[in-house]
This record gives sequence, C-alpha cells and structure tokens, in this order.
Amino acid sequence: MNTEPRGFKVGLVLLALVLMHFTVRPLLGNDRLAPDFLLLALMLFAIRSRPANAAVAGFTVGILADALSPVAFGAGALAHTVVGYLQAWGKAIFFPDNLLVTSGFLFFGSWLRNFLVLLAGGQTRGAELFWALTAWSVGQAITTTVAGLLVLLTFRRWFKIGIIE
Amino acid sequence: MRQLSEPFSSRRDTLTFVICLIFAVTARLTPATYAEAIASTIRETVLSPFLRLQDEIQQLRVWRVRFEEISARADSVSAIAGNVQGLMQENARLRAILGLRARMPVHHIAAEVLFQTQQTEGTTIIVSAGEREGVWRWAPVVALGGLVGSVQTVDRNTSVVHTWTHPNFGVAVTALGDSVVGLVGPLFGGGATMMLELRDVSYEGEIPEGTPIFTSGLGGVYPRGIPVGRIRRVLDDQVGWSRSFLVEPAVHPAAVSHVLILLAETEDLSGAFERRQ
Repeated sequence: MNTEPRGFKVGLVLLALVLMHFTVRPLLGNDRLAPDFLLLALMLFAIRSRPANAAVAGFTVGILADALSPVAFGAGALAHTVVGYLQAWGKAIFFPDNLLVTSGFLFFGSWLRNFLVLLAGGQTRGAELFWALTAWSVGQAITTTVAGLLVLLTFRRWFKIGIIE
Repeated sequence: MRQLSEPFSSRRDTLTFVICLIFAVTARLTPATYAEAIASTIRETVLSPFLRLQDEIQQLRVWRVRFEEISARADSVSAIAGNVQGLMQENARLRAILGLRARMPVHHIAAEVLFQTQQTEGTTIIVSAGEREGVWRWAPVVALGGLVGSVQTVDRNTSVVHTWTHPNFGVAVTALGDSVVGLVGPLFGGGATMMLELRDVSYEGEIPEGTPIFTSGLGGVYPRGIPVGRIRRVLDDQVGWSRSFLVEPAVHPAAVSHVLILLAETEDLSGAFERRQ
C-alpha cells in the first residue's frame, strides 16, 4: 500500500495546526482553556507513528513549549516526550479507528501533559495545583479533544489510522 | 492489517524514549542561567517567525478593537450630538484607556502579551518588545491597573516577564501615606485565584479593608507609586512581632493583553496611576 501521498497530506494538516497555534489560538479567548494546537499536532502524529518517532517529536515540541514558557525549563520536554510515547503505544494496544477511543486518547493526553508539566515544574502547589488539575487542565483537555475530533472528522480519509513505516 | 508486533516490540523505541527522557531531565536540571540562554536561542531562531506571526495577529486584533472604538465614537457623535452628558462619558472612558500612557512620566514602550499554553503560563509571560526596543533586564512592567512584574530575559524582539505570581517575586510596598510598610509576595494555597500576601507589617499597623497599597521604591527595581493591590483581610497575627494581610492584586496577568515596559529609571510614578483611597 502506498502511504506516502497520505502521509504528505497529513503532514500538511499538522503544519496547519502548528500555524493555527500561533495565529488562531490567541483569538480564542481564555488562554488556559483554549485548545493547544501544538499538542494536538503531536498527538495526531504520535497515534500513527512508532513510539520512538513519537518520543522524539514529543521532546522537540516540549523543548519549544519550554522556550515559550521558561519558568520550568525541561518540564514541557519531559511531559511531551511521555505523552508522545504513550500515545503511540496506546494506539498499538487499543482500537485505533474508533472515534470514542481516539477522543479518550486526546483527552487523556492533554490532561496528562498538564499534570506532568505541573509535577515536573514544581512551581504550583496546594489549592492552585488542585484547581489547575481539575478545572483548567480538564477544560483545556476538553477543548483540545473537540478541536482534534473536528480535524479528524474533516480529514477522516487522510487520517485513517495506520503505521506509516 | 496493521503490523504491530515487530515494530512496537523494538528495543529501538524504548532506547529512544529513554534517551529523550534523559535529555528532558537534563534540561530540567540545567541551572537557570543556562536554561534561559537555551530558551532565548530557541526563541530567536526556530520560534522567531512564529512569534512574529503571533505578534502580527495580536496587532490585527488591536486594530480591530480600535476600529470598533472609532466606529462607536462616530456613531455616538452622530446619534447623541445633542446629548453632551453621553459624549462626556464616552470621552472619560477613552481617556481612561489612553490615559496611563499619557500620564506616564518616564520613557516607556507598549507591548502585546504573546500568551502560550502551558499551565505554568502566567508565572512568566512573553511580550512583543525586546532588545531592539531598548528593553533591559529588571525593567518594571505595568498595566492599566498597576504592577505586573519585571523583565527577566531580553531577546532581540521579545522579552520574558516574571509576573507577581512567580515564586521569587517580592516587592517593598507602602500604604496609608507611608504609615504602613511591608513586603508583598505571591500567596500559595489560597484558592483558585492567585492572591498576594503583605508580610512583615508592624503589629501596630492597622490597615482597613480596601486600603490600596503601592510600591515604596525601596529595593531599586520598582519605582515608587505603582498600585500593587488592595487589602482584603488580616491573614496571620504573629503576636507582638508582625502581621500578614491578604491582598487582592491590582492586575491579574492572565487578563492582561497589553503592558507598558518602563525603559528609564525613575523614582516616583505616583502621578501616573489614579489613587482611589
């Protein structure tokens, strides 16, 4: 099966998500709740890649995120690496073509990223940590999941889950 | 049918993951000075076009708001030409928006806040002015309501600001015409909204609820007279020594879209912000 044309198209969608992160996202209101298009691009890449590639992509995205929020440099890299790797592994174990399962993956991945960033960052404690994990992180996970589902439904044919390599 | 077992059982995957983890942990443990240098390099190279793009989008948003304001003013003028009271209210509102810049007695530059996504956001913010605009490290950053924080890292086109929510933030303050002095820092564990804590206030110092507090100018970073917040209630009584007060911040970093960065050293900004005692 020739997967390269589809891979190229998927690459274009991921690139569009990266651009949307810096153009559309600032216009979406509350910054802590707006969908994270960069993380979404990573997760959509990870669920159709090998864990090794997903981990490297996660590390790259994480370092970029750390450069943008340098309060706990390295925390983002750690979190995104773990999320990328787990997403790739998870898709190998569970049913990848089910929209509900994919939603669960996107939601869990978003929340886990925030959890790990807060944990590794060590800057947030007590009640702030509780609210960050239960309110802001859940809210952002929901909006990121919704955005992910919209992308998957719009480009369903291109995102038909499969291993590229 | 997908081929899962062979590639996914590969040791290469695990090894790559572990190497990435080691790099990430190393980055986390890197001393702040080096970490800031690395982050700054990434912002000025790989992320530079993206941050410029984000800045352009922010400016488009500002232009749109300004256009709506001008349209509203034009509508107001034509609709309420005979209604002087309404016109005065409109003027007062616009003056409040533009007034801070006009009143600021020190060289400064306006910058947009380029918000990012991580949950640590708010502790640091990136603003769209840097070395090129003359921004320097420790330059005080204010918004319409009062103090936001200070510049920590200066890149060519952007700067990283440590806001008052940062664990290392501290500022000397004064209230009630210098009869009360103390130190203000972020209060952790207070609730969903970050608040400030006024510490080391002399036990005799009585501060009524709602009293505004301002920077005192001590310490050399922040000039005197910038609003920091308002007293909410007594937090802690250390009998015979000092008191702590809960302070509602004048500015919430997450709600700020534009800031002013003070580019020249000054001693007193009391006239720039309206004092509502």
